[in-house]
Amino acid sequence: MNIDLRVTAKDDLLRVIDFPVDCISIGDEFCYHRLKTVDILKGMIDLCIKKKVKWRLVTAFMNSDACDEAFEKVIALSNAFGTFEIVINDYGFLQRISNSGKMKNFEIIAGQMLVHSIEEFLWVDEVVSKENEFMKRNWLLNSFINTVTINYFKEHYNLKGVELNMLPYTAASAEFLNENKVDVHYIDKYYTMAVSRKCHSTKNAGVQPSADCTSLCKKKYKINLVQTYEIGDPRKKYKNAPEELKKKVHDWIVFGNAIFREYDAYPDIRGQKQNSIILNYQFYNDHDEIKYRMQQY
Amino acid sequence: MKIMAPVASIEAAKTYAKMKIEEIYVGVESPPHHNMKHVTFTGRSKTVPGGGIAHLASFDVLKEVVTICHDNNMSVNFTANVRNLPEELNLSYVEYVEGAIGQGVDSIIVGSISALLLLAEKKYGIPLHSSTFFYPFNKYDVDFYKKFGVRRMILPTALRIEELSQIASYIRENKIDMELEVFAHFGCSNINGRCNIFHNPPSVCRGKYDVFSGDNEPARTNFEFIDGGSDCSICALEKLLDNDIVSLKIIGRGLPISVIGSIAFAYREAIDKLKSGKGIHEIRKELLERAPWWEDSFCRENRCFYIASNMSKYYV
Repeated sequence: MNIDLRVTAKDDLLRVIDFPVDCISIGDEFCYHRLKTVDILKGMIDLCIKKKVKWRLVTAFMNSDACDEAFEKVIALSNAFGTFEIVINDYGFLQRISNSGKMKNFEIIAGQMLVHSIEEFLWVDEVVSKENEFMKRNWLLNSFINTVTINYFKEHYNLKGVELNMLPYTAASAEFLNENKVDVHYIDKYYTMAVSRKCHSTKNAGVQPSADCTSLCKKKYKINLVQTYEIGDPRKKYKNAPEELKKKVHDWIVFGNAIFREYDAYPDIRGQKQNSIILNYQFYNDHDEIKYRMQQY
Repeated sequence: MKIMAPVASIEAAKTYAKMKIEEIYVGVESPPHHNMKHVTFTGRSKTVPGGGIAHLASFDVLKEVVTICHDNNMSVNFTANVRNLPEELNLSYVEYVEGAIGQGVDSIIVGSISALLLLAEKKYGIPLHSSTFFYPFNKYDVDFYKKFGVRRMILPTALRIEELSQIASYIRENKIDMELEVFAHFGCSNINGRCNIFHNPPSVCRGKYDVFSGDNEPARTNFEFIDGGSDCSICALEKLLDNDIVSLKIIGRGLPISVIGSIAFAYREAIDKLKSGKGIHEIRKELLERAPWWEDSFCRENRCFYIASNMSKYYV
């Protein structure tokens, strides 16, 4: 397996640049503010090049203004460094690049906002329990398991890879993707339960999201459900959550505007030489844990 | 600006026709040979929590609903917005969509990129609507979706009015054949299509949590930490009209007609008053006098769609 270490800040990159990884990915899938200025990004990329480590850029979903800013950044980086891989989490941003006629400057990896599976759904068992194995297997596959989609994105948008969670049925779809010449990049430790437009970390701190708040979303929060909410009588809208639901919604992790859940188990994917495992720096408690996870692959 | 309501019965179609609702959205249970016991191509399971039925039992019933709607100048938007479409289900999905087209529906709502590509290749000549599951936050999404024959984009709820205006302006300035639809009422804390805790009430996302920092130190107790939900667009209606929004969708597949009807009535009344020249503040005042529970449920918590709110100031 190739190891990809994901960072957002130069400080974090300096701490891990000598780790024996195959790639450093720079940026965040869920918040545009974590995509730094061109100068900072150039400095980070220069460091990777100096250390002879492959690098790629990660971009989030964006409103129109952020899309235009991000476009200027990636073009500037392309002018400086040539063709590079970029993780895309917004079809509009992908189209912005395509509209400019500069698609050939980039190799695209479809990120988690575009590639997802119903297997992540909290009540997935309720949804598929009555289905036969054929239907269940198909229902739990991810959104890119279709040659119509793969062929279209390869032809029009230089698709090279996709990012996936490592849940059982999703991991099983890697073979299909590899057969269709699409690399798979698995996300280690946590899978995504939900992404909000609202940043939970900044709201908790009473600070509005901006380029200056990115230290707040590095802080890990763990949440346990206590009460549910129901629209209606304001005096009764919060009720104690049933115990069964509390067990399901327990020890969930929050970074910024995204909510995660830890895998119960890991599939054995070590033999998949063309594929990668993404270790998101902020997920781990310390460097020892990162090194331990690296050893598993 | 039209109102769109969910239909899961002939009774609902007749009720909304009497209320002068202009559009409905509706799905159908897949035929038996598709072997789908609980899952459907409609973007919902067969039943929703609480036991409500989210769609019609057969294409024959759909035909009756289409007849009722067309007799009352109502458009029928067909829900084929399953979030993911794997290759082995392509044929079943196409059969499902063709079944609906055969009954005379006016558009197909699509929620999966694979489904969109598949239907674009078929060139049925019927408008496709891109579901909110695609969460188009920027104007370049218009260029992306129009290539597939999408003629209406359903926008995400977590959009500021300025951002919505940028999309609407882009369409206008570039003379693109694309309509915009928004949700009128009942929103999600999370981005639709990237939420795995979406559930009918009671809500988990708006619930209260014990929160711990990374060191397991208590940070907050019994606190609505991940609540990001907005619910009401009454005060945004004027701006939505100014930005060429063609349709306001009321969500609630599987909810009782009485609930959907009361929400739809409020928006119907508000739009009619706006068009007759009444100001939005006065319209809101009259609504709250008529239905004080509206203020309790939505206004007090500042759960406003599209205009500045307690939630939107924390949008990334």
